[in-house]
Amino acid sequence: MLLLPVLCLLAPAEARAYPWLIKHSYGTSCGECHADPSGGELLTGYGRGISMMTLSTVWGGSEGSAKNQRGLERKLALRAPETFAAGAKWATPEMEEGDAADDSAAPAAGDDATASEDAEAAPAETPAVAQGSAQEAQSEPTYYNAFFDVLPLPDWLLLGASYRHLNILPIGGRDFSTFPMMMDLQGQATFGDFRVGGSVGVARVAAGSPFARRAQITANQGKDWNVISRTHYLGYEIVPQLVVRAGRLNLPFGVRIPEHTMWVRQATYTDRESSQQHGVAIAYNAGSLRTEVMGIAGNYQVNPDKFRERGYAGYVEYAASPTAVYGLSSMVTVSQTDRTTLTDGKTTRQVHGLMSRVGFAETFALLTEIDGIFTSSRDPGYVGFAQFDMEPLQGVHFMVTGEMLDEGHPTTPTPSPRAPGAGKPRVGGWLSANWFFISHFDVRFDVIKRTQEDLWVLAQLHAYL
Amino acid sequence: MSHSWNSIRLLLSGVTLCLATCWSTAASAEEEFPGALQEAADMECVPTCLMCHSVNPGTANTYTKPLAGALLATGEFKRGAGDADGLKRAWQSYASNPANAMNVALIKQGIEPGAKENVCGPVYGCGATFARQRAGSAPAAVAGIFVLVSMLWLARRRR
Repeated sequence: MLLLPVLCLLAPAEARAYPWLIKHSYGTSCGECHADPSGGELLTGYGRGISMMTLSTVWGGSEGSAKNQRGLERKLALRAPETFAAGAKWATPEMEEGDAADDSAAPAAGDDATASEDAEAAPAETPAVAQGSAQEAQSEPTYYNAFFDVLPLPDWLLLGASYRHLNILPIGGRDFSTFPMMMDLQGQATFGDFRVGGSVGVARVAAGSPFARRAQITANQGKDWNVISRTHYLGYEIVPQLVVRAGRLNLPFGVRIPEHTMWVRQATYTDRESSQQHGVAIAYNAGSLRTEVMGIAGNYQVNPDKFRERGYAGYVEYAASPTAVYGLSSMVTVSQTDRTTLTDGKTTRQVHGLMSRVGFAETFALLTEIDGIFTSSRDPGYVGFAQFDMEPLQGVHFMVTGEMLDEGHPTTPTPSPRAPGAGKPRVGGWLSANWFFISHFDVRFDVIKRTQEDLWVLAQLHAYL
Repeated sequence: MSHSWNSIRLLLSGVTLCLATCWSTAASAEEEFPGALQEAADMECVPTCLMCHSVNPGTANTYTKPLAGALLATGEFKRGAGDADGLKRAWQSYASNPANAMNVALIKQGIEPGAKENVCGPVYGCGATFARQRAGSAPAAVAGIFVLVSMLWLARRRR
């Protein structure tokens, strides 16, 4: 228990992958912002800068308008990371404080408090990056790399963390429930072309819960605290565009949304809550093409072996434009027990599908995915979702999501009657509001209604970097 | 960034800390039931939702298995409220009926009395018992070979 407060003090970090960033022309090269080449969790120094400039609401009195937010800072944020490398770097907090002391000077990157018209009028003085000679820049880090914007880190080390607290509101016949959903520290160290990284956290869920269990390191099966590790890996950068990693990894499949209970992630077992698997993955990311393929060796934090799934998962994505990406995903796994029905016997599970992420006018994004599910002893099924995201002000998101699921009717000798989700369509709808109200913090509200389920009303606080 | 913003962030971190340490229950309502049943019935394993539901994880209207109906029929707890104590009272009522003795014996072993199937799920954690590993599957072997060949080809090309 002593560990918990320490973890929480250090916790406010980690930004989940937000696929709706495609509307800002991000999302075609996830590895530039995230340690994971396919996106999610731990941020790079460049990713931190982008996060601070584009993710959160800008507070700054009269200067905090959306126009200013999408002015100079936005243009700089849209620059590819390599354009910063030669002659500029993200400003450090010390530089920002110096700037703040002088009203004529514009704020530096990472300061989400102010955005100056002066800055927009004088781009040559580039306020969001500290200009310097090439020689100076070469002796300094390209991006300001600091834990929680406070603790400077060496270039070779990335650190982050995440705390997500969920409240289930007493609506729809439910009792009020409140609990920490995520308390993780993440890190990655780079030594030349090699890297080592992962996450460690704690979780306490009820006995029999489908959540957190599969990432357990400690072996408490009841309602006690457990240490968990969602990812841990060794990696090697073969060339800058090509990275191979071995360890427990997020499965490369589908749109990498943060909503781990969305059917499209839950029914395909590809969420980032605890569905990671051990294996070897190779990721390629260059130009308009982005792909990752993983050989799955099974989840060695689940026992006995008959429950482990082995096979492959992968996707390929093509960027038709900076704001339109289309892709294919495929996954085949084999286990000795059907994890859904717990029936012993070789169970092959295939999921293949299409996905797209499209942005419109920096305010709207549409994410879609549809997958076919083909499982032993079941008729073919499907799962899909479409999410429309609107960001009327920077950091304020309203989302409408529709989803559908039919995992297929069992073809066993004595099948159960067709039911929604198992032989009949099951549909769900989400209305969500997500406000990144200050850098590193956001609140989110969801109203969820699904076939055969009562209304869910959720409220979350998320601290991250 | 200014000191005031750092102060606000630190304040929010404090609030977050309080949430984490002072104000938490374990997961959502219905997740209490498998653990409550295990405790009440003195089962060797934590049953999955398939003990009472037709799907795993169970949802609000999929409690179609005989045990779910029998426990609800005791009137000791109401659905949807996550009433684990009510579930335990319902179990005591159910188990005290001699007509249910055979089912009670099955349930204690993790067997769902309707289909007579074992509904004990996996155990979790690195320290949990390991079974002997099986040979890798064909798709995994193909993927592994693909990754290995790609690495060798690229390493050679890089030279």
